[in-house]
Amino acid sequence: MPQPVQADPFVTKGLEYLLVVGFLPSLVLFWRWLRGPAQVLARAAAGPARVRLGQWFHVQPGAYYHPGHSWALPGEGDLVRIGMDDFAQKLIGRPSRIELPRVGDRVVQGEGGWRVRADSKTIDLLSPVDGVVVARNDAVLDSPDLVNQDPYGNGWLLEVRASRMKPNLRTLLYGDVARAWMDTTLEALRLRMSDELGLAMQDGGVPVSGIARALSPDLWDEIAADFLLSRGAAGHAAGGRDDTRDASA
Amino acid sequence: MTVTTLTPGTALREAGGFLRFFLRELKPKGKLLTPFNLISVPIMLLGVVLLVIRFAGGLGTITNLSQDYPWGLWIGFDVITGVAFAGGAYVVTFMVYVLRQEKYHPIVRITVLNGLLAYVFYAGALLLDLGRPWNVVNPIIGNSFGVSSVMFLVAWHFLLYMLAEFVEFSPTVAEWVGRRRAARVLGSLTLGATIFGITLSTLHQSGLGALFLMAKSKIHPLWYSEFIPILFLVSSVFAGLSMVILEGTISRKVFGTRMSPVHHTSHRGIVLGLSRVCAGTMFVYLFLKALVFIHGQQVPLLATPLGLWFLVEVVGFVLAPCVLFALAVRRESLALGRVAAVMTLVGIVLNRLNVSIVAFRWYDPVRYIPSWGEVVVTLTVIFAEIWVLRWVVERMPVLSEAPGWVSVVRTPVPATGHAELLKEA
Repeated sequence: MPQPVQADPFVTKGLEYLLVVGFLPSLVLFWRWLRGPAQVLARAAAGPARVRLGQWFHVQPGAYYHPGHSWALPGEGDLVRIGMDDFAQKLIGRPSRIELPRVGDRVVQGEGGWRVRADSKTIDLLSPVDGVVVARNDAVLDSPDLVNQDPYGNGWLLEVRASRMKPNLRTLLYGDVARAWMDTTLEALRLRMSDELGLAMQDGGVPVSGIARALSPDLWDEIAADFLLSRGAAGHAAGGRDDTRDASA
Repeated sequence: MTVTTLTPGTALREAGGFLRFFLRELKPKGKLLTPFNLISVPIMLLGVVLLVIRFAGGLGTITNLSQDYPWGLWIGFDVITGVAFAGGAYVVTFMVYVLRQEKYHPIVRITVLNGLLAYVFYAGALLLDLGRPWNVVNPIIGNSFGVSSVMFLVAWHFLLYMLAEFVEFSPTVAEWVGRRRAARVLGSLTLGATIFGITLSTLHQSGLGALFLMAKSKIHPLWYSEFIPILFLVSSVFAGLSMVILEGTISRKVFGTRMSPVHHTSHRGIVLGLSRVCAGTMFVYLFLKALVFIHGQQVPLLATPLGLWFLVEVVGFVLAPCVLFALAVRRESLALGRVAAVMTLVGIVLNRLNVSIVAFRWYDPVRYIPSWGEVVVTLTVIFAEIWVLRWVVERMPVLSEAPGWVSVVRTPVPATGHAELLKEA
């Protein structure tokens, strides 16, 4: 068994003191660096070609937005065209079926207006206004992906005769407020994003379709319901469920 | 309010009801023929056979242990390394219940369960290594306490810590069996048990290191130091948190459907937060290592085979993951954090095995190498722990949300929707 060498313990004392003295400030600096803003955010903030966050999700000029990501576009008289916004369609992805209320059914602001089915799960979306359905977009029933292709145009869902147009519109988001809200939405989404989405956003790329599914393949409907504020919302106006057509059939 | 009195009849009915419930819960859930089951079951069966041989014929029948090498793989890996991996429980409960860092709340239960099972199985594996395992109760019952031995401390700390962790976890069990009053009472004990558990942990994590202080002449100077207890304690922080990161990543894949949405969505922030703590703690650990290295005047030893092995451990599996953890935080990269966690765990295995086996009696011409039987039994212990963990997670509200009747203190939910954001705006 080798005998331990009894070294003079004072030989290295000076070096040890220097190490301790150097360690304390370096620990402070290291910790401050660790707690500093992440490089991805810093780069995004400093980059010359900084993209306005809200531009990732298109905001239609002239449309009024419900925080549950449905839009309302006032038409002639008390008619209002409504649909789901760009964020909602990107969050859910390509639907297999859309269930709309029947003509004559009543929708209520902030309550379930229609249902979107995707990947065998159902998401309720909230109606932006009160009123009676006077028309619905049958093309969307045949081709649900119209809401992905053109959410503010050919992808409209219902036309409603609004019963309380002015008070309804006053509670909706419009113009700069709507754009700022969309920025906040994106920031909230970014906070939830895990690396499964990888390059989709942190490097400035455009978000993929079906973001909720990418975030959580199993519980994406709950995540979508959180963002669309429809957790626990009953499909109030899904009476037209019977006569919907399944695009996947 | 109706008051029910407990008569022998109702007690029997209650017991019968619980037994039926428990037997129902014992039935397997999900597929039986999974790759994990197909690998683990044969190994566990072989392990049981080997253990029967070991207890019938003694340690020498299946191990390479001897009078010169009384501590082998079962102590070096199962006990010493396993307990370091279980360190996540005391660190996370400290962060949540004492520092009030609520963002880590979703992982408290799974971490405590992991810690409890790690102690039960890995520290329990100590019994396999004792020549007369029934004597393990002696330090507890006073049949020769052995107060002058570090073993006395370790024995009491293990026992008390397992009890503390069981108390911390017990509200989950009460929720599972639907006992509201028990859940409330046990829940009120959590903070006390947590603080008690943290105190015990700091003591026995370092106590395990202190066990090696008596073997100064037998351990290679690059690994022996009077600071071993402190190094063991500090390294248990990042070992435990790395295990939490790895376990959380696997749980997310395996138990994804049972995981609450809050847990799912907070995963990213939790991993990055833990990565930051790991990076900071490893920085401190490296400083301590450097101090010990300089104080021991060990530079000439680096030019030996064991010196190079020492560099592999410290540079490759402490410094490198420390840098990776820091980069993971700065770049908000979960992938980097996970790679760093795995490297850290490898580094901890290396360190503990180096101290207890590789650098132990390093000068002997004939060295101890674990037998295949020891390896199989070690794998059996690990698989058994995973089986129990899986059974519990699939039945009790560990990752999933507690039943609706539980009046829990609401924890802040990280950015779940716009209502909160709009309110903030």
